[in-house]
Amino acid sequence: MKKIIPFCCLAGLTILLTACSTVAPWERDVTARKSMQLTKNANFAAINDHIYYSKEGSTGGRSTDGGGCGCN
Amino acid sequence: MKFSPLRKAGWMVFALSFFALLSLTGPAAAQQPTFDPGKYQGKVVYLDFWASWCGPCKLSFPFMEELHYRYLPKDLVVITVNLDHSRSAAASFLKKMRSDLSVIYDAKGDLAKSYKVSDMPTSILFDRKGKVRFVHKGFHPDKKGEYISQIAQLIHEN
Amino acid sequence: MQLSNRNKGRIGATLCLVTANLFSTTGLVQAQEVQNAFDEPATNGPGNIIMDGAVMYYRENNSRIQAIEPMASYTDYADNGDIFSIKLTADSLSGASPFGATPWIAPQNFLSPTSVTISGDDGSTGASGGVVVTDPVTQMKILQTTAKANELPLNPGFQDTRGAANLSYTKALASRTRVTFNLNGSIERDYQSYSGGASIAQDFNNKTTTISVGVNYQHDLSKRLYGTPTPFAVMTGVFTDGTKSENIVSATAGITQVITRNWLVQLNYSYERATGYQNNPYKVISVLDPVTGAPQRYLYEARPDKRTRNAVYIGSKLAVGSFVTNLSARYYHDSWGINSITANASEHIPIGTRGYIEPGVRYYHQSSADFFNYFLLSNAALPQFASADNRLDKFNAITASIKGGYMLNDQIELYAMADYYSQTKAGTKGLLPGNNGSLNLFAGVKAISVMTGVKYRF
Repeated sequence: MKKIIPFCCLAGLTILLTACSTVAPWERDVTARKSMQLTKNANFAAINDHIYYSKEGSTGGRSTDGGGCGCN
Repeated sequence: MKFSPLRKAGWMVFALSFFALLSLTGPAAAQQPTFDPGKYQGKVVYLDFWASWCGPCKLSFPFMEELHYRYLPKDLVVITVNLDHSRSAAASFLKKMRSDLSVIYDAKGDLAKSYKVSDMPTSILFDRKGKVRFVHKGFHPDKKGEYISQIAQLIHEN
Repeated sequence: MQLSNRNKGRIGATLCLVTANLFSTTGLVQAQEVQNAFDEPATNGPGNIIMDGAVMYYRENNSRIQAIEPMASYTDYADNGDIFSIKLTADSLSGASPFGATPWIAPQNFLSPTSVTISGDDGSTGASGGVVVTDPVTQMKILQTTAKANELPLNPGFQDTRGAANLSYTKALASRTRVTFNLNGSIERDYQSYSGGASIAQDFNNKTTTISVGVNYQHDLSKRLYGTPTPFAVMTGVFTDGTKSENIVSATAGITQVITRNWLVQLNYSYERATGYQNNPYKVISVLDPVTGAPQRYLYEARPDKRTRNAVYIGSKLAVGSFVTNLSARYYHDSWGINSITANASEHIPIGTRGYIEPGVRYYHQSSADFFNYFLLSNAALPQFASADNRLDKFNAITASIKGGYMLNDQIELYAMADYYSQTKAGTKGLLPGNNGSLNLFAGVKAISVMTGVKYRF
């Protein structure tokens, strides 16, 4: 149960931020940038994941969906 | 009732933000771009909302150019609405696309807001009477046939 | 002063507006024109085909492991929104690695079955030390190695190549819904791993919110030459256990939110359950004399056959001008008793009109697994589980990295990265029985990795 609490706090925070969102579909110029992609360079991410997976006891976390230009 | 300095500062931030918000929305109202479908009475209008950073918009421009030249004699008007914050980004996009379509600049998105644009790009088809008949959310090259048949339908209406 | 609920709601809304306003103001202050090639829109949309190739070189200190890893990928973003991608990776590893045995003040001899491809004929000395002999009875090839006094014993016969392939297909079901299927396979001489998964992503709120959920199934095979060792079997023994397998089921759920025009955050949760063989068939644990600390024998490790992992990740990307600040944190907990935290910070800095550099730091801390021990004592009964694998130890790790990219033109990006990674012991330092405080039991690594690659858009 103790582990659920921080997760709920984070989820609550995200929902709060969601409620604030005022970004219109035509205001996605910045999130559409190369520099703002969740995975700017897939190979950098792959190499880091590989090294940490083989040297540390933990896995999991990152994902790649969302952000971007919101087109189509 | 006494206010602590911290609270005073808090209210100051509130007040300042309020005025900042006003200053952002204020001037925009004065130079709001307009589009009046009535002005084109008797013609079918293809109104397209786009921005330079939007990938599918890049795919839609050659298609709109094609429409523009194909249907000109049959009274189709293609009007594009640019939603870039920066006019120069729009200009370099148009240059790259070699587009000569007419453009309404709507940097604040007022027009987009009034047509409830929810996808980039969005195109709206008005019939000869100036009534909204079809709305395309996004531009899907595999649906070009569908778009063209809708236009043909509206053109054949009197 | 009492606040009614309505007032509270109003104040909340005002706060939201103020925050949003502050951020959008910074958005307006920033240069409105594209200043740098990395301010250009990403090309991960319809109508693009991208080929990406890179080579990575990895090297640990004290001539431990070295690896070279070339990789190549092809991604096709179709006009209808579908995405097809294939990635091939190869791996060539060589060098020595710690295998769990504790150091001692005198040289230690180890015997272990080997595939001997590095050592040639019987009796010859391998490139990295050690002598190979053939057991006259079993015909097994045995590698004899000697660890120097006062040094951490290393397994010198370590050499392997790996090939891996990933296939992924994303189908746009509707303008706001995507499903992705992926298949992965990885093969090396003594290990194989196959996995497949599916995920669905749904956009909400004018596509500012994306929620995704996914499931994945993985099947791993451990096929050490002559079979896998029975847990707690004495090193050198005849291995009766053949190929062993492990199944992993995992699930992820995530939410990504565009908060303002130039700020997005992400929150993910992942769950994983592994069942089956989870030992490393090369790792042992030393059994020591409880008084002197002298090694008496070496037993193969024994881990539980179930492991449940949970991770929560939160990440943020904020653009100010052409700069982007990346922050992320992860909390991890598993049923073996490992808890870890990870914090990552990096700054994307535009350089000129075509390049960027991105310096970054990462901090990692983990607690040890419940059954982690540097050694066992010969006068005590064997525990149910024991491992001396340094991945299960309590440690801190710091990474300092620098990444960079340069757009040669509209279509070609050159990129490179260099990392320094360093593990240090956290908590109480491990001590041998007796009085050998000078011997370092911690087997953590320090490593550098460099990578360079090129991305080409058709």
